[in-house]
Amino acid sequence: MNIGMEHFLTLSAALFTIGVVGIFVNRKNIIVILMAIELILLSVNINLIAFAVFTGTITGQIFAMLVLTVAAAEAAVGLAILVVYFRNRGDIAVEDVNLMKG
Amino acid sequence: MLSDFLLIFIVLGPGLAALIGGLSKPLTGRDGLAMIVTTGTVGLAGILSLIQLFGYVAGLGHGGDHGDAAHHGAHIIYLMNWVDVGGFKADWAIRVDAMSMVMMAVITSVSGLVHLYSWGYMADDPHRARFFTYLSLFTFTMLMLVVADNFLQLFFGWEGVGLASYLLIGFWYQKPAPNDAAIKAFVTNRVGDFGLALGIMGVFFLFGSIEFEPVLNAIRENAMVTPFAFAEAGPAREVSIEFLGYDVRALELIGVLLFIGAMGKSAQLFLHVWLPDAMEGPTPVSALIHAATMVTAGVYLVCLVSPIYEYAPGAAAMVTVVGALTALFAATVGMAQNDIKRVIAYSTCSQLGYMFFAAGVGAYEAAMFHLFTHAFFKALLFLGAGSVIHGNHHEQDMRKLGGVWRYQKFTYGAMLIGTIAIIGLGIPHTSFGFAGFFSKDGIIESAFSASQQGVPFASMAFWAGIGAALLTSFYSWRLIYMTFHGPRAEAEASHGHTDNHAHDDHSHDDHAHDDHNHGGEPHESPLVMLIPLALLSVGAIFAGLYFYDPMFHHGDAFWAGALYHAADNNVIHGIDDLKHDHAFAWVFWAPLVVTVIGFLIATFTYFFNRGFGKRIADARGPTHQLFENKWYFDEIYEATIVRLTRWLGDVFWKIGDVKLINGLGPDGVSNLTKWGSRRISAMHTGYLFHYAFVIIGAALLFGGILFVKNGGVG
Repeated sequence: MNIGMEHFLTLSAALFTIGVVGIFVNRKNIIVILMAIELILLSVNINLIAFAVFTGTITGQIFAMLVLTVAAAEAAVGLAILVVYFRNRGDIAVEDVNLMKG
Repeated sequence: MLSDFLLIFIVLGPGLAALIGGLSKPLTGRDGLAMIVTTGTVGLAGILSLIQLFGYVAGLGHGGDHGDAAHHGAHIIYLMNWVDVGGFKADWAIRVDAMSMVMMAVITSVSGLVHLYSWGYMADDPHRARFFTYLSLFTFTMLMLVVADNFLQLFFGWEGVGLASYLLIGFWYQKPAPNDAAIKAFVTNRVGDFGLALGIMGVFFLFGSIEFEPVLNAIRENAMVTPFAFAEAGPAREVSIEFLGYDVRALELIGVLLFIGAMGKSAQLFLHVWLPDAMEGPTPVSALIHAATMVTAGVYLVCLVSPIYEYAPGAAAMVTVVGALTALFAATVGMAQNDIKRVIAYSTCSQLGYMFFAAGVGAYEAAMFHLFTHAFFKALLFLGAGSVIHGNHHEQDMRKLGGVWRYQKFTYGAMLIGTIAIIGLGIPHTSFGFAGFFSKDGIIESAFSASQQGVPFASMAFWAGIGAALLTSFYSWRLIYMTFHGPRAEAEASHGHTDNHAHDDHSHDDHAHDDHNHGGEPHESPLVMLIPLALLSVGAIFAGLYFYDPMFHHGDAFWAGALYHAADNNVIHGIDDLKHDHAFAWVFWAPLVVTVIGFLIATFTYFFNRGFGKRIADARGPTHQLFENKWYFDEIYEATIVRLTRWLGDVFWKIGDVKLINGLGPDGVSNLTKWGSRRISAMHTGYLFHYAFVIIGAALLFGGILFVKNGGVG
């Protein structure tokens, strides 16, 4: 079987959808949300690299490197926030995180 | 006539005294200065005014410069300009003619005596300075009213006396009843004042001026006038204007409107309800304001604008009918009242009715003459009643009084003189008689004379006058018998255990009096209260006798054109013709006969058969109930006007203001903002997944739109 463009895109779309649904459906664990975001970013990376390979340019690969960097930074910041949040509230259940309610 | 300086002093002096009196208490902390200044000023003004009046009468015989009837001899002192806008001009001025002189004499002399009397009557009141200040303020505004040379200054005085009346009725403001009575008087007078204000506007509309001289002269001469709204001019007596969509003769309209004002101030039928309640004020106030002076302002106004009524037969007929009905109505109520002051209040109302129907039939001299004599004997009756109240520890209920003559012989004598004066005892065709005899019989004869000359409603007024004379005699003697005669024991017995009750109901300044309440034994009043009684008694006896000829019988020279008669008005002169006609002799004897009948009935009912009157009252027959409850005027007004007004007020308040204006205006906007922001803030759940959903949903939506716009894949 020939691995073609559509396989990469399908995989990427599936990963993206899992990530989005993971954000929506998950009501318990905020770390799962972080993981879902990572998933979304990775699905984008797959997209970028697939296009880069199939068009023969390196722009997509460079962009993927950038996304990875941002994802790492984001994970670091997000986890740091979580740690501080946990210290303050003693809990990181998503349902209770509604201090911004108007 | 006095010099200008003295006239200015008479008018402005009481005003200045009120100012000094009002400031003296806060500055010195004592009442004495206010009492001395006000009493002295008003007393001096009273002496000057009386000198002026007597001098004027004495000057008449010598053919002085006032003798020319055609000459309208008003002396005007210009003080300063008040309003001068476009064609509308009003000055502060002192305009003295015969009418003003009579009114000034009445106002200042009665006011001076009432000031003096109050030294005794209010001796224990802690607010004497305020009381005397109000009294002087009243005197000042009343004088401004009668010396006005234009309608605006008259209106100033008119409202000023209304204010002073309000302040003095509610003088004992700590109690609810005087407050209610004061508000009732003020509000009822607003109804009349609305008519007066419209009448003054009508005068300006028609004549383009509100000064008496040009306006009244225009009517006298039937000059051409141009009402504002109409291009074409017309003779003053004929021209008509549009009012409420109807074309009415201007003079009739103005006459009716001015009379509505007079009805309010003079407590005529339908607007009379405030006067009996005004008795909640201190008794000297009742004597001065609600008997002798302020309530006669309406009569003064009608007589002042006599040219209008001479050429407005409809308005004059209204004056006659209302006056006659009031005379009779108030007398019937007076028969069944038990409060000594209320009896006299209704008596005042009735006598004012006499004055009005006299003016209505065209006998302005009779009206003014009765105004003059009435002031003395009615003030005497009120001050006498005050002396009784003062001597009997603020007992005003005649059923609880009785036998007082043994304790207050002087007061008894004064009240007797007042009673004989008000019932009009005197012998026709002679010059023997008390004050009321000359003036009241003059009015009744005028009404008959007018009826002979075909003046509308005059014969009804005549019979109403006869009927009211009968009732007047009855209730006046009833008052004397119930108060001064009969056993004291009954009163003693009831006094003991109803003392507190009586004090709650009827006494007004008992807080000041409790400390020398010595066991219910009545005592004579102090000398300072008896001197005014003595002086007023002199007036009640001789005022009629002395002034009958100059003021009434040969009044043309005295009034010197101040009272106007149309060419066909021969009411006063007709009386002389009647006197010489034996067929009409009964007219002159009828008042005396009914007076004696009334006296006999009262004597029979309340003197020889003391329980008889009480039995009639206890039987509670429908007629007695009707009279005792004042023909249910208060109840009818309560059920109709008051409730309607309250309902209207509720509609405007609860629906108009609260629901519509507030509901759509401030409250509405704020509620809308609140409601809207609550809705918007509800979107901010604070849940991360909701925000994420919105972000991604929006990204998908806008991405989709871009995708479709750019023609899809490829």
